[in-house]
Amino acid sequence: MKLSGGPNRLVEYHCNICGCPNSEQAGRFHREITVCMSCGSNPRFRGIVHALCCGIFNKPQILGDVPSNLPVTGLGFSDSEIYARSLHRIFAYQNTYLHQQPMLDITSSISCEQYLPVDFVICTEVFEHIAPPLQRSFNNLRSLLRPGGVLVFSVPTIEARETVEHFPDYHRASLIDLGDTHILVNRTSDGHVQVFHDLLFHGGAGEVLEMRVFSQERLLQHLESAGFTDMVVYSDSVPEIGYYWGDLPHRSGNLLGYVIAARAA
Amino acid sequence: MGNSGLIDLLSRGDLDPFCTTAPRSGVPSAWYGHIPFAYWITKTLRPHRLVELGTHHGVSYAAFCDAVCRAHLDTRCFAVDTWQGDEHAGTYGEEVYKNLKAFHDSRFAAFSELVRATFDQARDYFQDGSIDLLHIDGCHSYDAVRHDFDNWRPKLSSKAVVLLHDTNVHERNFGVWRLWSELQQIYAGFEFLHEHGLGVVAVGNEVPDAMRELCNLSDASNIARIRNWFAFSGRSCIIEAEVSSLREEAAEGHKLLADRNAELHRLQETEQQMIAQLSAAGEQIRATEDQLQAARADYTAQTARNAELQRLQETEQQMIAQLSAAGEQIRATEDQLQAARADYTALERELASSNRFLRVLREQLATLRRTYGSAITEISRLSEDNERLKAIEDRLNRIVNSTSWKVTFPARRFGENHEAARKWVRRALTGVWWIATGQVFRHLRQRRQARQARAPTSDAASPSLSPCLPLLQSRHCPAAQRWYDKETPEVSIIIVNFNRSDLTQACLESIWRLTENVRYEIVLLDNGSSPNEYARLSEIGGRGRVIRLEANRYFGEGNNIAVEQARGELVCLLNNDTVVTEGWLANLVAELRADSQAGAIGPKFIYPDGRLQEAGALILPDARVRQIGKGGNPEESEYCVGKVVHYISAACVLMPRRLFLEVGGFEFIYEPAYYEDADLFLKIRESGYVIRYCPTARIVHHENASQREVQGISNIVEMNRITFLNRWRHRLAHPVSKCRDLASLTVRKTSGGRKAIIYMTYGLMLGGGERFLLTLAAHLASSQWEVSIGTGVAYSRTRLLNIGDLFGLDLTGVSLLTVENLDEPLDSDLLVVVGNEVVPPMQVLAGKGIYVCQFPFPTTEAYIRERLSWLNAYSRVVVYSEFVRRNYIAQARAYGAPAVPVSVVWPAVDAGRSETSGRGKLNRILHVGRFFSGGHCKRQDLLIRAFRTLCDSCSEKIELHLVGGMHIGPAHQAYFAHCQTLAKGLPVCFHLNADQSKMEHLLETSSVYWHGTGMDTDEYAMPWALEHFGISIGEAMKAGCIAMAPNRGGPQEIIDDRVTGYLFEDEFELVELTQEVFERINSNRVEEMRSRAIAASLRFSREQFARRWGELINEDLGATTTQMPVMVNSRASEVKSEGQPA
Repeated sequence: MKLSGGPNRLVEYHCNICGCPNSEQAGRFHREITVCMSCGSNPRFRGIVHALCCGIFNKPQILGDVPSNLPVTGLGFSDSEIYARSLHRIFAYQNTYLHQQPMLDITSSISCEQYLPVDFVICTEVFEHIAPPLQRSFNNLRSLLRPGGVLVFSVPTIEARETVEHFPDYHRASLIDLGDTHILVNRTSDGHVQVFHDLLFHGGAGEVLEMRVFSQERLLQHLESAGFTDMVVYSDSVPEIGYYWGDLPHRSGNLLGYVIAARAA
Repeated sequence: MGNSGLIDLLSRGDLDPFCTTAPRSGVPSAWYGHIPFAYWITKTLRPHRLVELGTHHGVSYAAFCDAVCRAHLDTRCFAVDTWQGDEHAGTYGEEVYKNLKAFHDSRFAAFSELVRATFDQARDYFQDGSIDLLHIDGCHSYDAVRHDFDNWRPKLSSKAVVLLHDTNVHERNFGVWRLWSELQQIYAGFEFLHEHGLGVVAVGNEVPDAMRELCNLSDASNIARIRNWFAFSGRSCIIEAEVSSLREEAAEGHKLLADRNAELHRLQETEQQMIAQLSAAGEQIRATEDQLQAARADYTAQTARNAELQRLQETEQQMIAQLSAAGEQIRATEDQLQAARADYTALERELASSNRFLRVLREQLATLRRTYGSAITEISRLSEDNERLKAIEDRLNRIVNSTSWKVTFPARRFGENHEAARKWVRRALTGVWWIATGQVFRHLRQRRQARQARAPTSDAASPSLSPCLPLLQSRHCPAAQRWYDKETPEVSIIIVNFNRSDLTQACLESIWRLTENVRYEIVLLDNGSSPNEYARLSEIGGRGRVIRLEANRYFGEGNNIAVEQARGELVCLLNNDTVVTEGWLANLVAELRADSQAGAIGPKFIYPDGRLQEAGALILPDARVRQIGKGGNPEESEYCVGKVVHYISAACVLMPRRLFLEVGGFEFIYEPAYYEDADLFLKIRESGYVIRYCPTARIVHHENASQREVQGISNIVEMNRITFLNRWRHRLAHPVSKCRDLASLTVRKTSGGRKAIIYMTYGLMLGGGERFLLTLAAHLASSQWEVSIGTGVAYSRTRLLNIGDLFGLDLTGVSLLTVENLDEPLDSDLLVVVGNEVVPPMQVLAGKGIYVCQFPFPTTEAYIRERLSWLNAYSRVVVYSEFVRRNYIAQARAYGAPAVPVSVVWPAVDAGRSETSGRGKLNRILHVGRFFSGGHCKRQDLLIRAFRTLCDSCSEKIELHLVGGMHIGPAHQAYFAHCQTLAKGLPVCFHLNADQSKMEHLLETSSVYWHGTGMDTDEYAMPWALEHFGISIGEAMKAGCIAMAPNRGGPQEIIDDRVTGYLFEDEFELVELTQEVFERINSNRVEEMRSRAIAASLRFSREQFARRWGELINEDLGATTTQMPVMVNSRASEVKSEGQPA
């Protein structure tokens, strides 16, 4: 992400979730780590809120300044409480989870049918963990929105032509805990057994398995095929709210991970 | 400078005793020795603001804060740290901060804060000249501590003192000593040397005298005395902290000891048990030495295997190879299993074939038995008739031969020749009989009672209702009632009462007293209250119009009926458990009229105890409702501003009457209650309007006072939530405004046509029978007939049209007729009546009658005998299928019913359904049928069970979608809940009361259709539990689904087995057939079956239905009676009617 002034530039910003003033050297900005001193939000969270406000109010807003109980509906996928708390106050918003109520499994159309179509959906850092087929889940994501509804989306992405699938023949698989390490045993659709080592987990060993790293280009194609339009990739920094990060090395390449907004056609 | 004050003070030891106790102990720190000084300086300096830079475990900071508490100072304290460590303290984990925060917040949170920031970041939070006491204990390098001092210097006040820790450390990179020596050149100060050293710098010019005294000490002995005194006091603190730490360790040791003792005790017990076991084992060992040898041999072999296993685990490649080999073995086993299944299937089919043969034999036997039974009954009846005839003949002979008969011969001859005299004599005799037997008095009494019962219904607003105007004494609030205007009201206030006349009275009185500046009328609908309750309601004085329903039509339908009767431009729906407040209605009206986009508006709801109940509401994504401000303070500014919301409780809502009716009022699918209001507001929003909250109108509402006693209310709420969700999930995703033309509320008149009444015995519901009759009604109405739907209780026209919408029928030409007395003749040329017994539920007293028997369900013999003769007046019985016809004829013969022609008319498949091929089909199984227990239950429970088996055996991911309405009643709710429980963990989706567009979507996307009625049922013992026809099977076939249904009852006439679908014997075969279909889902074979199914479904078109009815009616009423409508579907018109049985 580009930012003028070099790594020593002191970036002064107001968190768009709590409104608190902060400052940090540009070189120390990280997508997940550089937190607001007041609420603990990181640049990704602030980018999510920025994209949401631009989609709903057509202008950037500080969530703390928005009045309560607006007639706007929204859904989140295990959103961080740092901003979910504010969204719950402002909107008819529900945060959903995979293993606790209210539940929502994006790979299941039946699960998605348990919710009314909403005005916005926030889906951040989810799709790199879900089981194939991918397009079905993108279609399900679209089905959660009313026509014109706003999607705010993010996943780890790289500049590549194709998405890097860690388990390309994933069909029926089990994760096995071997004590000091984990392996994934997969049975492909034609019956072959595969064993995978060197797995990458998010949130600690054995927690959430990374299944793929998206190609930015392919990701946008998936969204378009599912029926999304007006896609905006927030690839430019927004220093006034502290939405910025530098290079993010990953074993599949340099990560982009920009926040993306789109509208349901 | 005199210094005796300070020295004397210290000489006396005049410090608080607490100053030698560390408030925070048990953590490592080099600050314990300075705690007495921390107390002294805090008490002496009395700082307004105290800041510590670098807090770590918080030993020093806790001492400062504790001193503030004990000295009752108004000091604000701040501890600044990142709690991540530095080069001198080392890095440490999050638990340090968490532990300190827990300790701190429970003691000092009232005046102190932990600021998690770097020193530079935190600096901006403090104003210049505001800090009286600054303790610097961060990074101890010279540059860092110099930076901190210089950076924070402007923040210090005129009486500020700075403490620098570690002034006496000269190792590693520590540089505080250097700063201290530089500061001594500028400021007065004092240094303690113990515990790494602590420098005290009097930076301000106005420090207290005692501080100045300390910092200006020059006498070495006094300096030493003070250092020693604080070092000695500090030593107590260190010892205290160590003792505390040791105590904690001792406590842990004790706990460990206790645990170990317990463990030891357990081990001793185990040892005793083991000794006993060993003893027993020893006996066994001695007794079975040979077995031991064998066990040893096994053990040796096991050890060898373990070694082998260990070697396998060490080599990764070997493991993979073994897994692959295992995979191959599994596949081979699966092949074997498949072969075994095939064998088993073949055997099953042979068995099924044998069963079919057996069934044929059973059927023949049953027919013979029935014939034998009928014959015996007939013989018995004939002999009884013979005996009765003989008795009558004997009696007649006795009369003819009697003297009186012979004597009266001339009189009889006179009567035969003189008609008038004969009539006079007959009447006189009849009169004598009426008086003599007391019949005349009984009859008069009955008439008087009937007149009394009808008394409240004198001012009829509609012939189908029982309206009255009893509320009408003006003793209540004459001043306020001047706004009551029954002729030209602006607002009609609609109140529904059900057995709560007390609440209704309070509500009415508040309206009469407090409603001003708006012309209004009150329409009070009594929803079938008990006679006593209704009598009490009638006694309430005041103005209003009452509509009395004979049965509870529930909240939504009650309001629909009342709104249709209302006269105001606006309607205000008001619950009877409310009390209005001053200006309520005028404010609502003004706010509604001020916003042209407002479709409905509601007030601020207050609980009787003054808490806020609702300031508008939002509908959450899972269709639950969030009442804004519930339980809060109604005066809070947030709730005192009008705004747009999703929803307003229908306990009080104002809207244009026109809009209420255009959007279709309250939907009946939510009966008995809940979610009908949310549905109404979404319909209004769908029409382009908004819902507003009006804070200046206030209503006191008891909330749910009338629903508390409804049985199973929590189940109803949850089921209606599902209904609401399913209905609006599709509709919000594909928005179309569905406003109804107001003209449709008035029946389209036809002229010159014949009159038909179609009597819905079971009310205006959403069942297959109702659909059959309403389809007929729509066709007759479009053929210039004057058609009325007759019902035993009143219904709204809104409901009739809503049902028509759900069935895809145009019912605008059909009117409603409430039939209060079945014994009175109805003015019609044709009466069509539906029933579930071999005899009809009512008589035909005028015109021709056709009885539609859904199935001759079992009932009491007395019931049938009483009505057998009624059949005589019917020209025909119509049934849905050959299967029903066979059963009807058999039962009619058994009861000796009059011979009436029985004709089959297949129900019509909805013309609106699209015909699709395999394109767009998903791995989806569909089932359509209402959820109810008993009778011909649709057996969704068995289908879910079969689906679980299918999921276990099929590699494809398949979904099961169950669509249907719900019968009202606890048993049916329990059945639905049971189905939900069975479906847990499976991809099963329930769609309650899906609308037409949702149905079409599901039909288009489903590959397979399952039907369950008749599964697991003995067709000879319980033929009524089989599917009578199965219209949804035909619909599914028309949409290109592969239909599967039990090989019993009506479905046998719809599906040509293995040609247009599948007929299965049991669950096992259903699963197997489905698996086969999904394995070949895109094959030509499946595609061809879809095409054949679509073609076959055209036999059940509405055109065929209309043609068949046309034939029957022409036959019964004469050829000139009607022309059935010409149909539009060209494909359908090509199909000949030969498929329809005659």
